[in-house]
Amino acid sequence: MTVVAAAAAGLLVLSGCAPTASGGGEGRYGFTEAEQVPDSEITVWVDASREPAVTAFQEAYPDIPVKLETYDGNAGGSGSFQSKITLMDQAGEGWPDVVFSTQQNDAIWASKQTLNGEQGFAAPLNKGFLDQDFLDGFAPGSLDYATIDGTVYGLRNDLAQTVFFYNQTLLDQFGYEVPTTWEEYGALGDKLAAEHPGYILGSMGDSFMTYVYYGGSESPVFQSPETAVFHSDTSDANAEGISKIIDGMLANGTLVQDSFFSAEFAAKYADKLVGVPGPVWYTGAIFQGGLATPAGQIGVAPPLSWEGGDVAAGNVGGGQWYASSHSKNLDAVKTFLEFVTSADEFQVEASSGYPAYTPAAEKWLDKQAEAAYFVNDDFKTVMSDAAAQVWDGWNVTSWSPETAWAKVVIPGIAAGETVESLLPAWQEELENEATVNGYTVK
Amino acid sequence: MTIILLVFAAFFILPIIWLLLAPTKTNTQLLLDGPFSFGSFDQLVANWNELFAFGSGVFSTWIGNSALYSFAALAITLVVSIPAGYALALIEFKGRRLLLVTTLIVMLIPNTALVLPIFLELSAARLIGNPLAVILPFSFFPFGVYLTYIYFSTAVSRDLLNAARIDGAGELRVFAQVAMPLATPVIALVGFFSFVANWNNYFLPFLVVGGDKIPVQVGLANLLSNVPAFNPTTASSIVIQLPTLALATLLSVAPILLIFLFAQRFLVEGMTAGGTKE
Repeated sequence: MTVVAAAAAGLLVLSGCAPTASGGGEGRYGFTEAEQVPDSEITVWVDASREPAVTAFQEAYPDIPVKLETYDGNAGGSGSFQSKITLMDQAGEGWPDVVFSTQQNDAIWASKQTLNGEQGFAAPLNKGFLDQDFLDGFAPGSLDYATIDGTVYGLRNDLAQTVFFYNQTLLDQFGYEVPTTWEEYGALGDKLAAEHPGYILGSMGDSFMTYVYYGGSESPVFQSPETAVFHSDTSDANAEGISKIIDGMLANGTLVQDSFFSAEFAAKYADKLVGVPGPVWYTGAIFQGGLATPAGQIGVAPPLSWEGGDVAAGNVGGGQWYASSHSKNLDAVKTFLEFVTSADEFQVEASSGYPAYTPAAEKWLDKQAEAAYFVNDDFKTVMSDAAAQVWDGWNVTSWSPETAWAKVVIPGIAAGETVESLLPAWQEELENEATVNGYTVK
Repeated sequence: MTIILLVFAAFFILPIIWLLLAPTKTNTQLLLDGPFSFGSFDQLVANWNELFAFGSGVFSTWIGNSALYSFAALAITLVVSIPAGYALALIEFKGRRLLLVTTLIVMLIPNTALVLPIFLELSAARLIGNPLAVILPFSFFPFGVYLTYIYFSTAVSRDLLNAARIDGAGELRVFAQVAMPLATPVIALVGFFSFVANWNNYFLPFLVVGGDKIPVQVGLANLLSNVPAFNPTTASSIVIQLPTLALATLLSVAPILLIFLFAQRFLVEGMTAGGTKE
């Protein structure tokens, strides 16, 4: 993986990648179209989990020829999407027509013109290519990550808004209420540690906790207010506040350091997790997956907020669909993109993530309700409200916020330091990464 | 001395034993049971089925692709590099020294450094996505030429070849009937090194072929992206567990292991040949 990343970086150097926005404005759709070949085959790159999307499309539109190519989905920093496209930019041909990426930040490079004059890979979608009515169907803010200077370059596949999950059975047994604020969450930690040691309220063992706790608490840690500008302030009151709460809970043992995906976590805490803030995909991946918690125990509450503050959700993941600006069959690409993001056949029937397209999300929630997994009937409202409440102060950049957290904070906690004491070092590491990636730190 | 050897043996062998045992367990057993405990044969079968069910059996396709690329490239490599090494070692011709030095220099250039020019070349030849895009670059194996050169210039006596010439054999016949039979160990050695390098190559096929044409090493990366422990924030409906990944890893190296076992007699001969001179 490192080799790929290094080679991608090397290719960038070779191609002299300078951050110049292509802007566009040419053609019907805001980019220069390739000569169109009606009814030509479109090539689609997806990860294994998105193969059903292509299969469903082929069943619904048997007349549109689609070539499916499965790849690693650009997973976890493999950079395969960018490496391959950069090579095709050099060759001036061979691009796929549609690409699914599990990362959120590809629009940053895919929107830029390459130095040898190729226009950016990702086609602008809101300059006439897709109807505004259709784009308006996406949850508010869900297209932000792929929007650059007002131009939408990617369609969100699934949302990963955070909510607060709780175990009703344990809360009843202990006589506790569901916390609604971060302050109550911290206080519940103190109470739980004193009265029922061994029970927990979460884990800090995964690097995506940075989105859950800092994005979810409106801490201005990872912001890119404008193109190529980075801002981080870990001394902000929210960042310090949430760090103190985390430190208190780490000290009293209600936050642990095992990864949610480790079997240790499943073995030690399957019946000890009283409540936890986390993205909606915890339902399948953690409660029904690793912990195997039976139906009728878990409830879903709105994301935690600060006392007196507005409710704000964090966001942890969510894939994107991109159209190629070089496609020779844009009509088919348009039909494909609209189908995979909004049609029931994939988003409702075959997708495990929470659909970003609101009408599909409603049906997806109905389907979950039929399964009767959650204890509270209003979980649908809670989840759909949270989808519209993702805090817009946490941005995407060309690198991941998880690396600095994994490099500075996780080892620090393991060595017994407090998160609060690590905040300056964390900010420094974030700013260093920003500088390395060509961002101006402000 | 024995203790030191045992310590080193343990150091290298223990991880392999762990890997061999891993596919017999469930994900939970893998992380919670003793590292060298045995799961069950039933679980091994279950993991096997899970692996071959992934992507409707795409794992077999990957193995098949790897075999096609490696064997086709192996054939071309042998046909090209053995005569080349022979000629460089035993025939005087103009530009021989230059060719030899070039071979050495190309050998020293890391493969990854050549990826961009190779990609552009293949793209210009419209071969991207075609099996030839992997096979042709794989067949370029200067190390094989060099190895053959060393072998022929040290282990095969010129007098023997001259004797054949005096008996009236032409150059082709000398090569085919005298030099080649003597060179079996080095052919095995070049073949083995070429096969291993091609079978394990990740980066070139990763870039030049996609979809169902990828070899197993690139396929492993696709499998990896479906393991939640490595890729937690992706909403995946398809989940590969760690023991299944361990099984895939083992199966992906199994062919090399088998070939090594069958070929080791030749390999050892080839490696020691040229070390001594009468």
